[in-house]
Amino acid sequence: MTERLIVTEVDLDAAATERIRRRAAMVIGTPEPSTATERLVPLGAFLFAVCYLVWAAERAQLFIFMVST
Amino acid sequence: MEQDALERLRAGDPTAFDAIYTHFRPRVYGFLWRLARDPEVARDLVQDTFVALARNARRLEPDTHLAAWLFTVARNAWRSHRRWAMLDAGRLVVLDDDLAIPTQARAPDESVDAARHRERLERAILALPEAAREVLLLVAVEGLSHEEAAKILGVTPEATRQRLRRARGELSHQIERLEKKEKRR
Repeated sequence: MTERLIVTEVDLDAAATERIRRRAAMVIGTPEPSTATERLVPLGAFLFAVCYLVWAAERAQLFIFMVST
Repeated sequence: MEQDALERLRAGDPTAFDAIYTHFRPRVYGFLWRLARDPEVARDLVQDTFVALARNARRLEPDTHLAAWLFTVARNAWRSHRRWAMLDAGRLVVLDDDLAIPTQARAPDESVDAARHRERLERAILALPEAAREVLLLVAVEGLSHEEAAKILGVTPEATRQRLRRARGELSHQIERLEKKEKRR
């Protein structure tokens, strides 16, 4: 058993206690709003995927053309 | 209390949050004050911690250990604050034996010597390096197990035990130093 240290008991003053309680009560169960970065990253990934597919399709068409001629 | 309050909190019961806030607030505040060595910073971080609890209320697992969860979030909030504070030298805490320590009036049944020892203990804790301070606070002050503290600190239980042993040694050294300093006055 670890020997416990007996330290001074402290607490916030009444005003700060109530302010924090009210602030937390406003957001119970509300998830953190997404940041701009969190919204832009999936969009950027989607645009990249579209551009890649277009490029790949063009390369595929060029290959088919070269093979057939 | 903890299990029942957790269930009600997960269901979104605001009275459960109030009960948990009332029960854990002094402990989280004391932990953050001694970690940050600044009561003003600790107050802001207490808000961050309990707002995080409120936001995540419905996502907590049924077997969540509330104390460990709260101290994990509190510690992460402090580390995040400290990273930003490093960019602003004016907010860095000056290392000094005259830092604001947690104080309380001497109880009627508490001797003068016991009160002085308590004050010396607080100063000694604040004088420790942060790694020693946080393991001591989690295990020796808050009573978390080595395994729980290890998860919070991101190390193995064995590493936690070693850190705690070193921290206790440094604490004794700091208390001796402060006693000698008092005698010289």
